[in-house]
Amino acid sequence: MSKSRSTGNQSKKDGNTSSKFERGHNGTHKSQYLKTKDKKLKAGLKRIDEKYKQAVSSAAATEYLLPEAQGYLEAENEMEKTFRIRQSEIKDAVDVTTAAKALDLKLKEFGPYSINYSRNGTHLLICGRKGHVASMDWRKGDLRAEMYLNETCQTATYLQSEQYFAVAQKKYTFIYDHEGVELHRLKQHIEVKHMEFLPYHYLLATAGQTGWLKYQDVSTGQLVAELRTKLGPTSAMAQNPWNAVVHLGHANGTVTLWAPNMPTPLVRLLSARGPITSIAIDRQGYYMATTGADKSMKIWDIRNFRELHSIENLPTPGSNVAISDTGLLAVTRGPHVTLWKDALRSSKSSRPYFGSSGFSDRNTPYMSHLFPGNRVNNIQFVPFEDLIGVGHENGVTNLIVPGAGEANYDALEINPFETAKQRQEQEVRTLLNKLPADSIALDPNVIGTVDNRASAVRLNAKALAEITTEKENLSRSNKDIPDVKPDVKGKNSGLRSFLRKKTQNVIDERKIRVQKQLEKEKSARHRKEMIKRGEIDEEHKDLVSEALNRFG
Amino acid sequence: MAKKSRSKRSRKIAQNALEIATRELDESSDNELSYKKDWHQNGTVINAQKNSDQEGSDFEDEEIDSDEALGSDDDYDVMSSKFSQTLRDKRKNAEYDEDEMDGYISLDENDLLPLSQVWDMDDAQNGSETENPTELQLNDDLSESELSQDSESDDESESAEEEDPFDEISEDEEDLNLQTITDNLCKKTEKANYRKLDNGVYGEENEYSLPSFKAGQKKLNLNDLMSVVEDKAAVEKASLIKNKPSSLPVPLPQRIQQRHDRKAAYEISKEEVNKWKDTIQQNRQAEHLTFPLNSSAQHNESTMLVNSTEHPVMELEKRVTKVLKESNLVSLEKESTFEEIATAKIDPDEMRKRTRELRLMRELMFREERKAKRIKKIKSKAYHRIKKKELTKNQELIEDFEESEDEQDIARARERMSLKHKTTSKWAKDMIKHGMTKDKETREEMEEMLKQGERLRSKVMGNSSEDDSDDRISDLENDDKGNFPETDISRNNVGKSGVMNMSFMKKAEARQAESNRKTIEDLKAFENGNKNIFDDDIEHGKTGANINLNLGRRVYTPSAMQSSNEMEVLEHGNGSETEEEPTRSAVNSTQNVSERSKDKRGSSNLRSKNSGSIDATSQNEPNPWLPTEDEGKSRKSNKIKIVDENSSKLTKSANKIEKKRAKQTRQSDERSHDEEPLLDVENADKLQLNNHNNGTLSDEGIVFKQQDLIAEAFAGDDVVDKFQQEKKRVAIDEDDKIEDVTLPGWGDWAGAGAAPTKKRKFSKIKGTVRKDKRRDRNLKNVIINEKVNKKNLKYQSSAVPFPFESKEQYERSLRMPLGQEWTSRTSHQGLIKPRILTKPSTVIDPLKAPFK
Repeated sequence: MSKSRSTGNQSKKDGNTSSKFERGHNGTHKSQYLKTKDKKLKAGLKRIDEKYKQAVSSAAATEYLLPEAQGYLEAENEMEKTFRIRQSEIKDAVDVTTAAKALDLKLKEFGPYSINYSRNGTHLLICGRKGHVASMDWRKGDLRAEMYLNETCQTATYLQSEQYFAVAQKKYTFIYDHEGVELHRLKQHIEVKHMEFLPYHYLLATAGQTGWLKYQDVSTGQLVAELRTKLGPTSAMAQNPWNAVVHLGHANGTVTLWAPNMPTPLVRLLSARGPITSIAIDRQGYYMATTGADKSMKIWDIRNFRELHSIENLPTPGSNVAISDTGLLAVTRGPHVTLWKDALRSSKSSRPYFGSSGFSDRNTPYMSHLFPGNRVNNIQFVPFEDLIGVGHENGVTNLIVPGAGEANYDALEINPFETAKQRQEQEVRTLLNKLPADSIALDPNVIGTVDNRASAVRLNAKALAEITTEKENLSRSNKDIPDVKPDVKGKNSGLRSFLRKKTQNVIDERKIRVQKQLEKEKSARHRKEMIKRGEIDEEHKDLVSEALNRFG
Repeated sequence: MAKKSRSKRSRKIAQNALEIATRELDESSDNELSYKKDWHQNGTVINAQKNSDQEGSDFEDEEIDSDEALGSDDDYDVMSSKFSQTLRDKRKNAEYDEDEMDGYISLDENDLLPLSQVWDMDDAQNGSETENPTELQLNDDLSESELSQDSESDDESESAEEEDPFDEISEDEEDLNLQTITDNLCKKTEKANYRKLDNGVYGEENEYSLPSFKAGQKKLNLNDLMSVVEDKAAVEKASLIKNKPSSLPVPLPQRIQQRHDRKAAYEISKEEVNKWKDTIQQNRQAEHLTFPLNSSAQHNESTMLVNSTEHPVMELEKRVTKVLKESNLVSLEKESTFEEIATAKIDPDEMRKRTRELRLMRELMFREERKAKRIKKIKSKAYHRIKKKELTKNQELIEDFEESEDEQDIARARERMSLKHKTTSKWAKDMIKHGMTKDKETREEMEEMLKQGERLRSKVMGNSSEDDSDDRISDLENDDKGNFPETDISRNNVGKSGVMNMSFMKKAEARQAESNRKTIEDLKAFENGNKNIFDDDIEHGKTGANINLNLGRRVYTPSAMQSSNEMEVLEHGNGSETEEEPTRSAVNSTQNVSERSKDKRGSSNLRSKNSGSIDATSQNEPNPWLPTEDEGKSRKSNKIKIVDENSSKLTKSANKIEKKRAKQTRQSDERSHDEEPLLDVENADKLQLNNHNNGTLSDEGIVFKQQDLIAEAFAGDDVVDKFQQEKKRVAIDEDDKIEDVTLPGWGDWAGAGAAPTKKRKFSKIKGTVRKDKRRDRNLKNVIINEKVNKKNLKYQSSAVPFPFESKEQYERSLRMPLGQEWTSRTSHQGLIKPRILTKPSTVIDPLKAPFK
């Protein structure tokens, strides 16, 4: 009855694979950008174009090296619905190793549990609200660290590898190593409820009750940015894996997008009428799904910030939402876990519904699961596995979801089978390739491009000369040093304070100018004083000194 | 410049002449006075030649062409005549250097003239120069044309008419140089001139006024001059003199000539350089260059091309060979098979014998060579010492006879200099520096020092080197005796044929063997002489040292031995322990985990029970805003609880919103009331589900939940409104602003009845973005921040970079990321390949000229 069959093979093998690998905007016509009189430039541009084409075609040629394709549960007829298939049935049908992976940890004491899988999916970090934190190699069943912290633990997350993890505890956030040894107490991260680790920037972003979003560089230990949301406690958090922008959900139903280099949110979206309960963003950074306490669920296309689907009345408010690598949408409400396939498409037929209610073209759930007498606290798709990890009040459960995991992994990027040596090398490599925190932007492609405000064509010699002489002119007209102000007191003179700031024994051209100006100022002040005292006339001119001034 | 200086000089001369003339006139009146004065002024005798030379050299200092300078230098005394010109030319060609030398060195008594003569000379020059001043000028100027030549030829004819000075010159005075000849010439002409001058004056003859020339004397002719020249060939060649000189074309001015030369040279070099043009262009346009260019490809000749059999059997083989033959790919040498080699035809027994012989021969030769090498290498301390002693003894013997003391000293000094750490002391350096080594005492002291140093060094070095050498000698002997007893026999037998049989080879071999034997004997003698030195070391072989394999260091005590054994045992045990590594299945291990956690939990539970009770009491208090989830197990329905819990999470914020809402108008309240049922219109089925859930609620829950729902609903309405307002506000804030900057009353008439001006002043303040250009203008529920992110700007280019002309071009070039993460390996390598690749450790030749 139930089977996981590979459907990917016949689906997308039609000729136009190279379009997937093309980059940039292909809008401009060839003749347009090639319009130049410079032969050398023309040849260079042509060469670049050729190289680009070659690169695209060679990348497309590697497509056949990815033979693995994800398969989905498929119904045999119209009457059969895949969401009716239960986990026990799937477990019976699948192979032993997959069945073994569907682990179910019954931990009733310290729940509810929140879970976090490491980036390569080898390790699982569980964090019970009441202070039970454990890190394990879940496939081997190897417990790496287990701690009872005896205080509230909100959430926990792995850092760059499974060697380190951060735990948001009652007041502070702590960083532990793989054996559970406390390494750091992040005293600036207070009452954290949500944490995200940005792997390419080595940043730990935290948000919580305080309404501050804080970025900590875990490689250097610096607090990179503290951003005040001004929107009360943060109720949800997610990172966009494509551009490392952090999405925060707030009590007033807005989702704000943040980068550490901007004190104000990059974008504000009104996504619910009540508080946002959860946010999820797909791997490519195209879509965002949010659930609100007002029983709404919205799917956004965050490339252009348009709503794709808006579901206003879920049976109960959604508490968690997640999007798998393959684009499955998982939503939890209370004890329910519901998954939809193809929910991230803009067509009307892909709008998720709970039931078909007689219509044939409705996107009914792909799978669903119920934890009776329980409540789901946290969900996460397991990387490279057909599993979804669910943290609930009574422990942690992995549900088998056929077609949830990325079938082809790139071992140079994230290797699910990496050895200790590979992990070490990967860490060094990622540290070397670490991106600076202030390079985070809504569109990361702007890096390296020409500034929007700059002229679109290359400046001619005159303009360039103008720019270069601009500074020179500044110094020529004494614009780069404080003005002469004979009115103010000598002590308050800007020129004097300028001199004070300068190193005493260094004499440069600027300093000499300042000294000259200061002399002028002094004499002007003196003259003023004299006038005030009536010693000299307003019109009085010292002809001798004026005549001599030209030599000064 | 030259002209100028010359004219100056001529003026000077003219002045002199005038003086002389006046003196002559005044002679009668105050003869004696002037005489005294003159002597006093000029000294007794002056060197006219030198004088002129000095002037010439002064003149040379100025910037002039070397030719001109030379000319002026030479022709000073006979400047005006064409004859001198030709002479000069000749000289220039042949004896330029000598002449110059002459000018400075050949100062004989003959050259020294009395003052009066000098006066005469001056006078004469003056006369000749004043005669044709134009000629003087023209003479120098090379750019002058025929006119000057004409005048010159006239001069020549004039000079030819003058009397011949060579009449006076006898045959035996041929060695007189030209200088003196010209001097004489001058005298003659001067005298003539003088007479002319003197004609007007009728004075007596005395030592100041020479008797006038006798008329009828012959004039100097060119032919007369030629007769002096001995070289017949030169005389033959002197066509200028013999024939009427035909005018040669005037050479171009030097700078113009040089310009022409340069032009021509440039053309030639350009042509030469242009040969490279295509190659260079090609290289410039090339995307990648690999140096050395055009490196010869190394082909591995595949064995495929070599035929296995001589005659192809298969059809395909035949065809292939045919093709190969046609394309000259078959090499004859390779084709020759083993059978064709001459040796293959010999009887196998014979062959074997020969090879054996050859092998033996080679072996013997090799061994002898090795031996020689080894002996050569042997350098024992004792050997060296004795060698050195011998050498010094010999040297002393030789020194006694031959070397002078100085040489010895020098040798010693050199030796000392070369010995690094002995002469580095300050004292030694000083001694050497100041040549104190000649002093016997210091020398002895120094030698003593050197000896001391040597002794010390030998102490430092110890016997290690001796050990090595000693072993070697014995080894050698052993080799000879033990391993190859039959060497001599075989040596005699082998080598009856082949190269070894030749007499010179035999001789050489014998010589080598003999020398080897001798050296060995020598060494043995040394050894015997110094036997006691080496005896000690042999006993060192076996001491109590116990070498532990693992530790790699020596242990000298028996207890150490024990401990090491213990260590071994321990290690073995460890190994066995690590062997039994448990392998667990996923299920097993997870159970393990849960068990462990249970255990720990048990203990922690006990501990936390006390504190937990406090928590429980606090939680039991009825708080409508807090969730009731803690009594989870007694719950009947989860779904109800969930709603409650969710609301409870957000109660704080909801509460806040409610407070704010209270300030709002009633109208909005009513509106939200109206809207509430609308929520469920769209999906009827879900509404039912919802109602069903609600139906199971207990009374308390319903009341609480409805309140919550209402609050939520109101909050939502508020949220939307607020968001819209915020969006409007942001749009206005970031828009361009127009500010009223009119100053009231400024420039107006004040007072009653004054009409207020309607003109108002506005200034525009530029905002970040205009309202109608906002990116979110058409997007509902979205506010996009339009502010420029200044920290991002540093990652952007402020202008289109150089080779590109437009932003489009530049950004198109950025399209493809270079990193290996984003492209395939081949394209990545292609994208990052440097333009120039050089092969390390190869010589890069300059570009070769292509042949054209």
